[in-house]
Amino acid sequence: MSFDESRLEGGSLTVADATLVLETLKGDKTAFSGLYDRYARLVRAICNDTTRDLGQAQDLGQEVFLRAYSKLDKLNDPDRFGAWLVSITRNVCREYRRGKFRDRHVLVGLAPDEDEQATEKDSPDERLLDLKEALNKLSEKERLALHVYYLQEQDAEQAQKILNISRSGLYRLLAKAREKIERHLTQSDKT
Amino acid sequence: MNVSLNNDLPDYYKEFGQNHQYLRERLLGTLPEVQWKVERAETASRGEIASLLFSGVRLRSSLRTALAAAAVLAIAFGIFVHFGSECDNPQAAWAAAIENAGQVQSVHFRFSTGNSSVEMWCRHPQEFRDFRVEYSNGIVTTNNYEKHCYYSKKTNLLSIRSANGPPLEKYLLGELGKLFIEKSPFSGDLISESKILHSEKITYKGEQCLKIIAEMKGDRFEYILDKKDPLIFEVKRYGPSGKVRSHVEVLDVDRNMPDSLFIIVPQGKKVADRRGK
Repeated sequence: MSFDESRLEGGSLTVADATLVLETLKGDKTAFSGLYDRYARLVRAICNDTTRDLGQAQDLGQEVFLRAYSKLDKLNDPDRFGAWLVSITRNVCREYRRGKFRDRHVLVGLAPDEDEQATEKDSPDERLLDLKEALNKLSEKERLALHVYYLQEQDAEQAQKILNISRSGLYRLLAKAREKIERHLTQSDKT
Repeated sequence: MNVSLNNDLPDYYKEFGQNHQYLRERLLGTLPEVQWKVERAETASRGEIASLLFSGVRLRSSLRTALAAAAVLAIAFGIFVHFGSECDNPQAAWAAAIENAGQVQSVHFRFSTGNSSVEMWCRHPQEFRDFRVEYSNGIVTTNNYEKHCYYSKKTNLLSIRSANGPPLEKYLLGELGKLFIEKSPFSGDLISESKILHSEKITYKGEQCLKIIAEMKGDRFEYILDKKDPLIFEVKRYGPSGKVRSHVEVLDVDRNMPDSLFIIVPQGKKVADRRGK
């Protein structure tokens, strides 16, 4: 079976995770690229919570997928690839916080992208900055729920599978997160 | 309230899709050559797949070999394929570069930016065997199959760990590859995205070389290539302001490197041996 990239673009869930995992194990790297298309944004968003820097989040994201690829035979239930990947991501982030990647980033950071930095600083979109600030104030669970929900095409079933919680639990977390964000944004509007 | 969450949250999440295609190609280009043995029929239910994964899959890893090959390709030959080939067909040039990459036994290079630098020695890359890295901040590391050594001149502490997984250098080399391969390591896409502004024959370190100035996404790249072999001697990357962003110099290729280069002698150092812990 070969995987047409266009079928997978945009996180479309036409091919089950388990099938992609199996095909990857058979040596089809295109299948793994399907999994990458489906989850890379989510992984980067989670990493960004730790790094607070998109470039570094992208680097960590690559590490997550490399690790997942080389440990793919350890995945007990391929249908739960998403949840498994999220747990790898959290581990990688934990290691990052402990400084395991310090050396690597000394080097990676050797060539700061001066233009990208300038763009970020000059960004006039204060609204988005407020939103980022509000997101940073959420608990890890609430933030993760938002990431999963919004980056998995707002598919509650997929989100609850990845987070391993009930549907009502997911909605509770989402509602709480939204409420906190709105409160933060209302306050910053007033000031 | 100015913010509508329904609009702004999706807006916020858009940024995580930035460079997605590039990152995907880069990842695919650096995936290790792992061959999984799956002995079963083409079709399988999810339950069957799960049980298969529990029991029947064997990994035949040639991880190090693949990573090393990718690293050497990225370091020494990537640019040649983009700009240095006299061959009209970029695919043929790429194939030739891959062929040549297999022959390299050692690489020594320096990579620097305005504020820091790193010097790296890599030996027997096909087997991903020995690395030494010296950072400008006084950190020295040596890595091989058996152990990872990390020495800080500042603290005089040498810490030793067992090697379990790809050495750090894999990542370093991968990142260095970014300098050369802006879009995707094994794709010809960037050939059409880059533009050669100027080229001239020069003598560089006594060798007949080709200097090529190219532009890619607003940055200017200056390459010095050996005319005879597909090897890069030097790459300088300038930002739009004309400031040097990075500078890579390949100092030696295929030079004998003594064993002592890849060993940090513990004598006179505080040693933290963390092997087996």
